[in-house]
Amino acid sequence: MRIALVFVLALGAAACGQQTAEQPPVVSDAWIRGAPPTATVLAGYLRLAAGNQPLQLTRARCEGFGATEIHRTVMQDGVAGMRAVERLEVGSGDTVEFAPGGYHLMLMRPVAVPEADASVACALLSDDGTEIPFVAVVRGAAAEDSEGHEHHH
Amino acid sequence: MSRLRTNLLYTVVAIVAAGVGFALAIRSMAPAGPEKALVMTEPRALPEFALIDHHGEAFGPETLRGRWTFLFFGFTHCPDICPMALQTLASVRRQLADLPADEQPDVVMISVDPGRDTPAQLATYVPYFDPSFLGVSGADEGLVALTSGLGVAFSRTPAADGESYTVDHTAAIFLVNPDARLAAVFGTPHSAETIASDYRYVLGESG
Repeated sequence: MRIALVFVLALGAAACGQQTAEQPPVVSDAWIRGAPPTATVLAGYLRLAAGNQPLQLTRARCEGFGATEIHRTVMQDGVAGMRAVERLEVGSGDTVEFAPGGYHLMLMRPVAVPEADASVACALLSDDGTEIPFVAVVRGAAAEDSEGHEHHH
Repeated sequence: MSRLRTNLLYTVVAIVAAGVGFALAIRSMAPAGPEKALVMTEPRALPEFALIDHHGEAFGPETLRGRWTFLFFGFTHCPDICPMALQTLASVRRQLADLPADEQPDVVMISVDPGRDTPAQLATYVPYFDPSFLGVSGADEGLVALTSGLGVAFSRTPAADGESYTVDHTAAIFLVNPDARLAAVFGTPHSAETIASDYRYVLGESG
């Protein structure tokens, strides 16, 4: 009986502990748009769920690229432009989509443009030292096209 | 009325009915109107301009004669909007593969960043999306002559690092007819299905 009570108390303590534990931010569906071998910049896309702490992202890092920045495509009166995002704030529990035509990672100065289906190790970074590591897969043009069709039908 | 004349009358009626049915079927195959494209009621002549394609050949209004051509303005240091548009146009071409060869559209990307987009750079970049695609650029004088005639805007903005720059540009896609006249404009966001369907409409109207 005493043993059972201790077990129940232990379970309760574990449950409480879990409730207050930090839920880390999660990156999912990360991909890089495949590009010609001579491309000097590539774009990366992903979904970022902030977890239970707000985030202030300032930059990113991807293996095999000289620099990776957070950018956003802006459209005004039919004119498209690309702007560096110096600080991307994501509230706790919020999700941000990096998607074509909007937020994207600007991957610059590739050592070699990765081929379709290659995996690239990346991380989103903030000034307080937070690192959110993830792996992005390179999608060739054909893969993206068929993906597009699935969305339409 | 003799039996022969009656049979002849029935035959004529049947032929006319079949003809009307066929004509209606043909009409129903062509879209009733454009879904999204701005179609010119009177296709507009292009201004004179002189540019260079990725083979190093001269590219001007005369080059556009004899073929339907989609024009897109962009640059290769543009990782988001430009490859997206080129992939969309590659998909448009695949969707129009059933058309006779002379009715299938060409695709030309005109780089508004000639400082970085040399013919050699365009030659390896643009055909990646479809081997038939042509990259074109040239001096600002030629670019401005063409863009101002089409109502295309572009401007170069220094990037945050102070060393490089980015180029803002009109993201619409332009359709030029075989008389080298502007036939239609496709605004953003681009959908391959809609562009292909509107292209069939414009093609049907022109014939």
